[in-house]
Amino acid sequence: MAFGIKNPGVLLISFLAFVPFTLWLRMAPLGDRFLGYGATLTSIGQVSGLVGTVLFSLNLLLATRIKYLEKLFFGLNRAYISHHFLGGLAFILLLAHPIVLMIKYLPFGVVGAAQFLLPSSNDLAKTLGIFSLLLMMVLLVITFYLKVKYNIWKATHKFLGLAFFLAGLHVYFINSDVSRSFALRYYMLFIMAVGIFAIFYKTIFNAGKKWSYQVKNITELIANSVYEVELEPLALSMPYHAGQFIFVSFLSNKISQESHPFSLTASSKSKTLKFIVKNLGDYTSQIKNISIGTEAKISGPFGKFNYRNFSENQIWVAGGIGVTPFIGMARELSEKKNCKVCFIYSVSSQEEAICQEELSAMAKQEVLGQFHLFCSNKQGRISAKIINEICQGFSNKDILLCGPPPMIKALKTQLKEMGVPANKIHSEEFNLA
Amino acid sequence: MNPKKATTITLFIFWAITTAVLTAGLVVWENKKSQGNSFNGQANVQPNEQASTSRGTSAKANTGSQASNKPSSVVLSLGEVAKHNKRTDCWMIISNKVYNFTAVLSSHPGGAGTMLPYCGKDGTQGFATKDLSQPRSHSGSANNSLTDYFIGNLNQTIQSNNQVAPVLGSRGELEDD
Repeated sequence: MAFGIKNPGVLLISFLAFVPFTLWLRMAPLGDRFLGYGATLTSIGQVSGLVGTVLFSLNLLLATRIKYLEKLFFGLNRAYISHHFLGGLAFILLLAHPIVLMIKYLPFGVVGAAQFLLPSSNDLAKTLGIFSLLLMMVLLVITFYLKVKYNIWKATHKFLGLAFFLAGLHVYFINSDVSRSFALRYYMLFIMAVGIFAIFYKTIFNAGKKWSYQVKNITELIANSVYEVELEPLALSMPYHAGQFIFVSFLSNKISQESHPFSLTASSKSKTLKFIVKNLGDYTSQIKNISIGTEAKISGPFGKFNYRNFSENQIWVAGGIGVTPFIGMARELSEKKNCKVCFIYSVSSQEEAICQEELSAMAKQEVLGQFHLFCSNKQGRISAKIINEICQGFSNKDILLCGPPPMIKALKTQLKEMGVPANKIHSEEFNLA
Repeated sequence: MNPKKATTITLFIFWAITTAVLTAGLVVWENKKSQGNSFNGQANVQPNEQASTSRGTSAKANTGSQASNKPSSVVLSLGEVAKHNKRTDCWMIISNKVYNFTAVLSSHPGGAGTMLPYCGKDGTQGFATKDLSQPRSHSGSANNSLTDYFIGNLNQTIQSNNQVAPVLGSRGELEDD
């Protein structure tokens, strides 16, 4: 998988999820745990529940946007990719938990097995678990399968906090291994407290530093389709470097107040913030209607995509709307002139290209080494081979990729096949949705 | 396999199994209700040869049993019960009723090891507390399924021909139950 085992965040979560398993193992001899079919099913069912709960809890942390996550996951966008994966994994383990436990009752009769799955008035802990899982199922079906409006989806997704709370009660009250071993019990309670903290932090307190800005200007870059929004600070201005992104929330009755992520397109020296919006849906279509002077709440900056960490010779490959962080970086280059960049901008057709004149001009002024607009409707899909030809070789160059995930994945594979070392390939996946 | 696909498959399996079990449970439960208490047979999955038919005629069938076909009667005394104290032949007394738990040992959710010490003896206390420092009783479904293993009351005299075939875990029904 792209996010791999390479980042400390994933390693940490794996370790924390492994701990309850070892604590559980130490509670009884292994032979007893798997002696016979009934005991084996009990064991598998229990472990599935324990690990699933830990993953669920830690996953709540991944959605808090706490700055430290950027260090652990090499960028907030990667934290969100892990969040999607972990969410699915926790869900699968928690679905397996009651089913596996139920199967052990089947030899005693299907009536007993059916009763096990149903809520019961004299087993409160089990009933809480059932409701928690049902709620989780409804909310995750909405998340994975139904196409609802973003703000509706977001409101429903927050109720996973309630599902988690019910699950916590289930773990707390259930009469099982988790109630019989101090070590296991307190570990689980601790991990769940972390999850509860995450819920309060994000959903209830909406914590995290916000910067106050107001709209200075909205420029139409492509008629009715692409706009650049400029914001000026109302108080402190946010320090950032080009290539990073922010979450923006407008306080206006012309647009929903939900917050959305955008890459910053002004250089870091600029006093104003700029970002580019493409008209793609309910929210983005309203951007053009916002009046000058509208207040905006900004959180950020996020992202670890930073050309300044790398060598002097670089290759930048942008796909579609993935060009936005590069625009910021290019504008910053014009104030520095210490990089030789071969910039390839791939679009499906020329009409879609943003800031094309500005970028071509930069190449002429030798701010950028080269600038190429690559139109896939005329020239086919961009590939590592084509990049190699246009930029005259890869040797010793750092390659930065930003665009749709399938493009990034394909290019990464091709580049590695052509001998580019993995530590020279850097990507920013836009997968926050 | 991406997370979405794996989740979809798991969800599907979850609901398939849940629906199957709940439906089967409902059907069998309705059946049981309408047939009254004397009917003990259920569609049980037992790893034994003597597939207990749902008509309770297994009480008569001696097919394949290693029964020492004593047509005589047996008193379910403490001494008699004590003879069946092995993993391959396990009887137990619970609340003055005698049960043949041989078939249950390997599928016992608490493991065979927890039941074995009580084979041939009175396991009432163990059943009531699960031998835990914080005593826990067995579930409703466990209690309900006891009847499937019932041999007779303590010190009752029973016909022995269908009961002395414990290896196959017979669950014969008794006419005079």
